[in-house]
Amino acid sequence: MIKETALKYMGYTNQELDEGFLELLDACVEEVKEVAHFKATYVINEVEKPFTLKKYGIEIASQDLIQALDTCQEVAIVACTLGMAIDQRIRYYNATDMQKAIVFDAVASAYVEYCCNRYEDEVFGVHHSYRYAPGYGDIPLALNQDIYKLMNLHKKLGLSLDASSLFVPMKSMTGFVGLQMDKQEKSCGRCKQKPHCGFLKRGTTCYKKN
Amino acid sequence: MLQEKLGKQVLVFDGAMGTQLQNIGLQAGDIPEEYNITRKADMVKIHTSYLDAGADFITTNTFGCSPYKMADSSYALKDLIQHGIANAKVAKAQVNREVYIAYDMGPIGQLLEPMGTLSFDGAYQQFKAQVELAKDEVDAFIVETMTDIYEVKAAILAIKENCDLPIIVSMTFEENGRSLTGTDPLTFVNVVEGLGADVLGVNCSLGPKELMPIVKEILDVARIPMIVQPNAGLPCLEHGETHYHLTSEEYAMYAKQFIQMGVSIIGGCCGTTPEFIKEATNASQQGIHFTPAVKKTRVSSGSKTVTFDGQVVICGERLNPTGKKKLKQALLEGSFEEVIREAIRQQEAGADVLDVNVGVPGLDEAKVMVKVVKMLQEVMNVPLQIDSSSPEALEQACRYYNGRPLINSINAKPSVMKAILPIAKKYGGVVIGLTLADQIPLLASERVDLAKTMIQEAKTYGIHPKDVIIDCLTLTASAQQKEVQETLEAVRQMKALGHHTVLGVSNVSFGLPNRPLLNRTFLTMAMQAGLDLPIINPLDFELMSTIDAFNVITYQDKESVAYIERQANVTVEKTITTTKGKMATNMDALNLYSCIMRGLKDEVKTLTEVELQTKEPLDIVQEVVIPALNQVGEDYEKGIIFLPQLIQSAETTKLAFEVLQSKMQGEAKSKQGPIVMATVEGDIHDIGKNIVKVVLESYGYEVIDLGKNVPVQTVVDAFLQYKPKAIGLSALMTTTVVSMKKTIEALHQYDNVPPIMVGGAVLSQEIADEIGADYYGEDAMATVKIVQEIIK
Repeated sequence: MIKETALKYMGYTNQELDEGFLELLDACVEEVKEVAHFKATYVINEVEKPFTLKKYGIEIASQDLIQALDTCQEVAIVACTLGMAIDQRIRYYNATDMQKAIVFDAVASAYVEYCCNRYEDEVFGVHHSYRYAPGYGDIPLALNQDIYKLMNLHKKLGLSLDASSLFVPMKSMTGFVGLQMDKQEKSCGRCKQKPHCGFLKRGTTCYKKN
Repeated sequence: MLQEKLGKQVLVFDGAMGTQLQNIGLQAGDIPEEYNITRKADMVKIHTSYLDAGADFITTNTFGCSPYKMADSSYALKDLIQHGIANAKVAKAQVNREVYIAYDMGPIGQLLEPMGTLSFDGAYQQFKAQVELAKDEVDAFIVETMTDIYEVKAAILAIKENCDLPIIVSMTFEENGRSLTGTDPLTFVNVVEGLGADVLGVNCSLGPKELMPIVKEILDVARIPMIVQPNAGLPCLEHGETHYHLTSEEYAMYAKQFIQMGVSIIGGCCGTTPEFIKEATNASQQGIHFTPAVKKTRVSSGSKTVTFDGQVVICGERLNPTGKKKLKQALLEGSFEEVIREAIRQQEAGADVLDVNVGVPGLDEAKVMVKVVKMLQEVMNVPLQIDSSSPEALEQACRYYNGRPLINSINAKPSVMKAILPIAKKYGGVVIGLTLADQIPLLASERVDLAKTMIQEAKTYGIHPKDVIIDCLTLTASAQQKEVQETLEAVRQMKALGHHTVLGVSNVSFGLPNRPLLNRTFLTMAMQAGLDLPIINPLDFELMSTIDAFNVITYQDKESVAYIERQANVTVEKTITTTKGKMATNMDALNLYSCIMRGLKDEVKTLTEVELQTKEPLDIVQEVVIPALNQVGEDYEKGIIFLPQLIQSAETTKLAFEVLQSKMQGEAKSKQGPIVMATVEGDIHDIGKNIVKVVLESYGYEVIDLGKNVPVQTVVDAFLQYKPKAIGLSALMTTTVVSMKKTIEALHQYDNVPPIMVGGAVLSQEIADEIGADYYGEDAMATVKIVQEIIK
């Protein structure tokens, strides 16, 4: 699962993989697991329609979110990170072995998704929606600015946010999870990246299709 | 006086502020510091409740008062701070005993380079602004909940350089025993003591039980008093809300235990209340148990500390341009990649610390030194030995170094000591003292005298004798054979006096054949005499093995663990050689072309040599390398191979070029270019730029990589200095495309600006046109084509 996702992030479309590459991929998975220090937190908000987080009193202008989480009463905002050591390792490989840097980076991205999925199942049970992250579809990435402050992510997870609304450590993310509801198929519907999306060009998507 | 009480009696700090504020209505997203103005009476009440519980210190409600964070507030920074202090003062005035106000400084809220974009100077200013506003009104500064030791350094310097108040520094550690940015307790203690803090300790993140091992680790090594402010247990998340479950009675038990262990100041963090502080006050009655740890010589990076504890500490000597043409050239050309690689090779070969010297005539040494130090600490964790004869370069490097450095060096000349010892004192540097004044004394006893002079002089600056390492000076056997013995004798005498010593080992063999043999023999004898810090070439396996063997024989390497680990590989290596032999036969079927296609990095050098037996280097480039690369590029575009495979081939080709270039003559030798590349200001995501760089280099182009988060002016300066044939800029997000535009505009103020190429996730041809770029490179291969068009 981790490897499959990582390969997708690297732009893999069924090319032939030699033994050396597969060994590198395995080694990166092991190393990411060893170096990562997964931490996560969440808050729960009641939702008022169309999409207002009651506790925080913020309204989110996102058709995708309204549609995806239409049936739920409560939404969790989940935030998580693999920690700074992963970034340090990525910097190291950027300076010493570019191929490994690419593979390691992709594996780390896949691993944070994997850990977060597992965390959600642990905390919310399996009956919850997919995670909808700022940046997905028409959910503004800048929403991270509010989430960061409201959830006090600097203190809770040691995150920091740049002006582009991207987190440091780099392998960190936030997302909305509808509670007590079924998973709905994701789509590229309103995604802003659509015109120049590398995944679409390669005939895949950035999310997992059922 | 507060200073006189520190470490002499147990003092009590207050408990949580945030928890109290939540109790009076603070909501998620509110700015707690605004309560200093809007809820003055409540704030005074909180302070008073802690004083009533017996606290000796109250902490101002200014944790988030960095100008960066408070930019969100509708109130001025000055007002937030001054009201915060005033509230504490009102509470203080109500009690009839000596209590203290500590100005609270938390993290800035923005990460420092290289993790984030904030510069060290920028961080310093964030703290200085607060120090200026608070220093005349408070009794001490507490810098707390810190997660980055580099940020701690900026805070301490900002306080020390602007006032004389006591400094308490408290860091936050995770359950794995490290701070979020990877600092371990030992490193924290070593760096913070070196910078001259008055109290150090831990707070937040964990409860007292979980903090116990970290507290012990710190007490074992700390020479200044320790503060502990635990949470009320581990934070528990229940339905998205954080709760703390430790009771004040349980806390009391731990508080007593901490004090018995030697903690000097006790307080509380998240979840603690005046009840807890009352217990702390009770616990403090038992009196102080603090004794400073034994002084040891230690140097640190931001995440690793090397202790001089009997084991030989290996210093890598290779980052020194003296006599190294390639390194000198690399420094002059600004191609720091080679410098970094040389450093990493030494680290991987087993160097414990690395000497860094960038002294090349015509270079701005201080500037280049800072640049190199920053680049090194970005990717590696061995502590650095900053090596320069320029006090300015030393000072600058020590300032921007993340850790506690070795400083190479002083000598017994008064002018030199006067210039450099204050730097060592200020930044906690462990200084190397060369036993020479106007000339090198011949006799051991004379060198020992000079050593004593230096140690004595260092003491007058407050530098501990253990923080001076004596270089007894290796003389060259071909010129001063008789005196080589004197060096060893001086080492013996220094050792007997309890001091550490250092020697540049390879000096001994200049001018004689089979230098490695002399180096090894001399090293063995010197280690036997007591040498602690040999400065050597860690890539010399035999020499390194000598140290391994020495550690076995002197019973330093218990059960020969390290020896077996390293030397067992020697046998393994032999097998590898045989396998490689087999590979060589297989390689007959393989040629350079398919080697590049398949990206076989291990074989490429040999295969290039094979080609060189029959062909000229340039012909190989034209007939083999370029066609192979073109095929790889085509395969990539058709989707036959994907990105990691493209990069593998590119890196393989770079290795082939290294071999070919060493065989080329004159003009053919020079690469095409240069091309200046940078990830623009505000952007730390540089993997895309690095990918393009590797591919361009595989085509034989010289790339000057300015790195990430590169200020506009740096790009302009590089344009003026290197006169590139093309400039490549990358940006990940729309926000940093703005920096890209600014960079392009700044460049266009000049004549003869080469074509500017841009790339990055959100870029497109339209955006490229809009911001005035000449080319849009969609990916690495597209960029190669652009460059081929530009540089025909």
